[in-house]
Amino acid sequence: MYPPAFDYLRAESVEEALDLLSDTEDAELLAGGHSLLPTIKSGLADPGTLIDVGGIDDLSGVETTEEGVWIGATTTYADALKSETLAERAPAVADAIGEIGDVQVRNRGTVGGNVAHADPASDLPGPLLAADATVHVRGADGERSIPIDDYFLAMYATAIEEGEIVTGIEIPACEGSGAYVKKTSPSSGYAVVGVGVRLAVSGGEIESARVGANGAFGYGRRLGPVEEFLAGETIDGGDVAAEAGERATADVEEWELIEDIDTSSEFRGRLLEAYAERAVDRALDRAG
Amino acid sequence: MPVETVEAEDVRAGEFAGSAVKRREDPHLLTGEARYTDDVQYPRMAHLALLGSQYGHAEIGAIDTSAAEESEGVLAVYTHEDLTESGIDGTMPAADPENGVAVERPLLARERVRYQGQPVAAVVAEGRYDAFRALDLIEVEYDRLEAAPELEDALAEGAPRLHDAAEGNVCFESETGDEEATEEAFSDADHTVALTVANNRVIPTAMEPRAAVARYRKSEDALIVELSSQNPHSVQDRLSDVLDVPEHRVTVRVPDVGGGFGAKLQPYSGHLLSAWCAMALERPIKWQARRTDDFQSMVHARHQETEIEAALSAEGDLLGLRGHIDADLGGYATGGGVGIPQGTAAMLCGQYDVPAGHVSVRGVFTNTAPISAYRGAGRPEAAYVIERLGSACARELEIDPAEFRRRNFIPSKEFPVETALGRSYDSGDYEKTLDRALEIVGYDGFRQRQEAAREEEKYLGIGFSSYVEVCGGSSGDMEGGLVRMNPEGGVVVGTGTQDTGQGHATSFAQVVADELGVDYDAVEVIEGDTDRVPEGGGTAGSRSLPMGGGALREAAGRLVEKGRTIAAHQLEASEADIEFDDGEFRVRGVPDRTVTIEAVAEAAYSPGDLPEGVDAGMEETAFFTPEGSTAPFGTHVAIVEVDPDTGELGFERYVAVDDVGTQINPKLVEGQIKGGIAQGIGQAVYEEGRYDENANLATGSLQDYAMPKSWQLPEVDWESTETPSPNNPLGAKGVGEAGTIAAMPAVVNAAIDALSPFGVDDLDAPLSEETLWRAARGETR
Amino acid sequence: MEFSDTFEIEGVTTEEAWLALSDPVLIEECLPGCQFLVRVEDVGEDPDEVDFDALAEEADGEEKPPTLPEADPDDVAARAFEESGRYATLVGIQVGSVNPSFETIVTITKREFPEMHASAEGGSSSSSFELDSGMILSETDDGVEVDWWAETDVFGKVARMGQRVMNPVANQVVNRFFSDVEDRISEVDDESSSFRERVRDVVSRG
Repeated sequence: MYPPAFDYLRAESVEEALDLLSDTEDAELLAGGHSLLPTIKSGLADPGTLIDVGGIDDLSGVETTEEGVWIGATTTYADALKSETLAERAPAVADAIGEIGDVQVRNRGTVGGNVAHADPASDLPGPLLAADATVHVRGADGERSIPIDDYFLAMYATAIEEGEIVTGIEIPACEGSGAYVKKTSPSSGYAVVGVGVRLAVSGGEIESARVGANGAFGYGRRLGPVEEFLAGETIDGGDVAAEAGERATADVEEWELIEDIDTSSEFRGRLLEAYAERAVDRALDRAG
Repeated sequence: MPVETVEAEDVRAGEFAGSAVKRREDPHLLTGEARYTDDVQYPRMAHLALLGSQYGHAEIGAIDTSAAEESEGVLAVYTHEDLTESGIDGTMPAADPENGVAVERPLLARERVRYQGQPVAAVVAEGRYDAFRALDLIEVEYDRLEAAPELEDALAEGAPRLHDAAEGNVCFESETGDEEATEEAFSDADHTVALTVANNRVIPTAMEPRAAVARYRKSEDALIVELSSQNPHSVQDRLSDVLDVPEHRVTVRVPDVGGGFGAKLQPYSGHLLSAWCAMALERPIKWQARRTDDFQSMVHARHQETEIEAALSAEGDLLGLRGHIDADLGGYATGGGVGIPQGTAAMLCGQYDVPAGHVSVRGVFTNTAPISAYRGAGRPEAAYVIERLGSACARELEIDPAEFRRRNFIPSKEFPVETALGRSYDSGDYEKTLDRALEIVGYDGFRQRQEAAREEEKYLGIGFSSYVEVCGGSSGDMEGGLVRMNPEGGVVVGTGTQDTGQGHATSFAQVVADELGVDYDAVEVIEGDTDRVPEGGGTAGSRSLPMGGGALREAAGRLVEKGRTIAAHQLEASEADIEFDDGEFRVRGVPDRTVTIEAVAEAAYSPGDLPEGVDAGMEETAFFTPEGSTAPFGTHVAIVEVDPDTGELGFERYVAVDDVGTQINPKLVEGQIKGGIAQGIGQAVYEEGRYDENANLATGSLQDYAMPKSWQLPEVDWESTETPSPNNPLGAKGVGEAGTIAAMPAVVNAAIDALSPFGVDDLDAPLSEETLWRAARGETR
Repeated sequence: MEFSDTFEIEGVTTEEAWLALSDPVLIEECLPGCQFLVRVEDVGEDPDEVDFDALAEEADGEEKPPTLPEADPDDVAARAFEESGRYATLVGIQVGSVNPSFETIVTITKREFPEMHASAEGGSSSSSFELDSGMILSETDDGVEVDWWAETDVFGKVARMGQRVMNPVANQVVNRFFSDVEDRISEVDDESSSFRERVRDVVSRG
């Protein structure tokens, strides 16, 4: 469909982006455009101005850091996938990026855009929660870092304040293994459910686990009971994955699970369990 | 093994028919040189956009176009009144069913809308964006009415009445077969098996949405319309009819088409209005539908709900079939909507020898997009019903499903036959395709493997679809073929069929090159221009090769005969002594007295070289009408695995053995079958056009309507047999629809077989994970 | 789409909750993106009959009167919802970058202590919705229990293009409204007995 008319401004730097954002009424930020433009073209959104931050070089690139890895906000998925350090240090996140959309989407869409938009069915909230990431933002008052556990608030709602822009995601290096498994919607390509797992492993035992899900709820959420169960289990104990998976819906009310035209809440819960099992299974495999 | 293609230069003269020559269409399609309707540009061209109704059922009061008229770039905004004021009645030709009522189909809504997206107003603007943006500024007074999106809503007591003329929302009722004989068969039966089968609504989703560019030359009162279509001559008729312009002053041309599949067999409001606007504004007008426009207001397909029952002997022989079909027409009745379900009823015997049958059909209006033809047009629906029933009978009588089919097939020596439900099949050898399919799939060991797998909680299932379909034209149909050889030896071929991706230029050139003994590359094929080919039936129901190819074979044959007369004169021999082989005329027994057909063609244009009584020129037109239709057939077998815990379905094998009579180009045949299978699997597993209870189209875009992607489809093990058709000179049967007709029953039967340990004996398509999961748990959603 | 739930407020009387819930000013504060909620006379249920632009202008800059417990119960009673009364309001949904605004007419279809029903019809340029809703108050040991339900039908572009999120978004919007209502009423707690008596009086007068 054809989008309604909009003004287009290009920011060459983060400062400029922040200025434009505060000075322009009814503006949305544009990076890869693959969440925003489909929404505009389907007639659901109608921003007066798009402020394009996709060309800000400072915000692009994957870097190895002392603690782990840094993904610049405007790094495209395709570029992120080329990074060996990301695959090594943040395996669940790397898995997830590879599952997003298709080749064309991955060539344009950005990690920061995904995180800022927080579509409940996108593929990053779950693995970022599992990876204990930190979202870095900058606003008029300066820089701020938001722990991922405090970041996802409600459907499409995050802890980013008005006038702030995501600058990058910081991910601590994985000390064990990680994985992301997704049930893809055959129509939209989004996650019907997607589960990210990170295991801290030592001496054949799981010291701790972080498990995050997207697609299942209004926003990315951790699966506490699965994490609690995994802590202390051995990585090659026969039914660990299955028993972990069963606990995926342990403290979840059916009404919390998304119900839409294709999938009921009840079935979504079943898929959440099945895919939690698969994600744990894959992480255990990789740990072995 | 996929068919291997050959280069044209590697094919021996006279052996083009039957060879897998590489498609000559591909280079320009794949290198960006294709020219689709949206690529057509003219100076001063303006753009048309249509406003679709917000509601599925509403009365329309005032339409305030003032804000839209003042919007940037807008040249005009039109409603129904503007059309009637110009002197036309503003309607499209409506279906007029026997045993039913005709209802008006306005180009732009008048008083009432009956499906969401029904065109209500038209905007013409300088730019494409200008036109679509102005749509939101049109204010329509809607008085929302209660909607009946489902068949059961429309048929319920107290349902809203969609058309005044249609009581109970029933458009027509019809029946086929012999009710009395069928009742007798049922009273004699040892067993009866009954089934309720739903054919789910699908939305034909060609890669190229609808489009037209219309120009009007006022000085000549000439209308030229270029559009993405399957039948330019029919469009020419409609334009003439609707706009009141004499037919000979209407030219219709079809550029490259990105898929039609049946949905482009009728001109829509947008096409007709682009022409009307071109006349009203005296500027070229382009209408390019958006994907969402196509979802809402292009025809939908296949929605039928059927009750069917089989009468059987103790040994499992079919004695009779009786049933009733409720066919969803949508908000308005199209010709296809009315004819197709009646065709379904007549096809319900399938491959089986059924002595007696009776099926009634009822066409019902609902507040949804109108329904019409889509690849198979009634035969996928029929194959699905009878093949589901066949497997159900086998299950209930505890007979092996392949055996049940074999036992009940029409024996090959009986052909041609007329079935108890009124269809004629020209030729067939059903056992042969079944046997070959069973062999390829390894049926012998399957049941043991299935048993062993079940013990490990792996659930495999096998599904059969032994289909027959009837297509390829009919005794009431006609197609023309023109073959002209130019004095320099080039050959121009024209026919009234219309390529929308099938490969006509390739296959017709093969037929004619062989017939004339000329170079394949020397043959040029023309379609899609009503000025160059004055009559034609378009491409639908797999008619192109049997009908167009048949006409061309005839015309080419006549050309050879004319050539023989001229050659006899040139070689100074009697016609009876002239043989024609490999492009050369020769005197029998005198090997060095020869003349090529090219030389004859040259001579044909020199009046001094012609025998007496023979007109100059080397051109023949033949009009071909067959004795009857063709009946392609085959057996498809699918092996699937279903995970009862997640409802996930995977394909282990898909085997297809098809018989489409003589094959002119085996690669094209393979492509048609596999493409058809993809669309059949799409309906079986992924696709459903859904409306919510308020008649909003819930699957209004590709984000919500799941088209199968290449990685979701199985590899197809394909083989074929060739049982020629007696009904056309090529012996060819239609192939375009066979794959789609066959696939859905094979897949659904396989899923039912896979879940049978859970007590599942029935499933509704599409087989989403949730549907399969719930079935395994003994629930329906 | 159907939604329903129950919430409890401690420390308020049923009459206090009832009066608060009947206050258009309090409700306006809970409706998403709402700029005004004003009574309109002589109109039907169809939003097209009302000039929303004019109402928005009027409302702009107007000061909002106080709500309970600061407000005088008599003032609240004077402006309270009336059965068959119609009210015009602008409802703005905000979900990510999607923020449609619906010109809406709310009709109080029933108002009989302790039960109130309302229906609403709203439209934007290409979509519309219809809503039926109700609540019943009952006294508990510690306060008041409010049972609410809502049924909504959506038409047009939002229903066509927003299927992936329509259900959860509507869920969120409706739930948030009632949760905001819950928050606001729980502030309506003035334990002075004279306040409570006045409220009881006002409510018993209807």
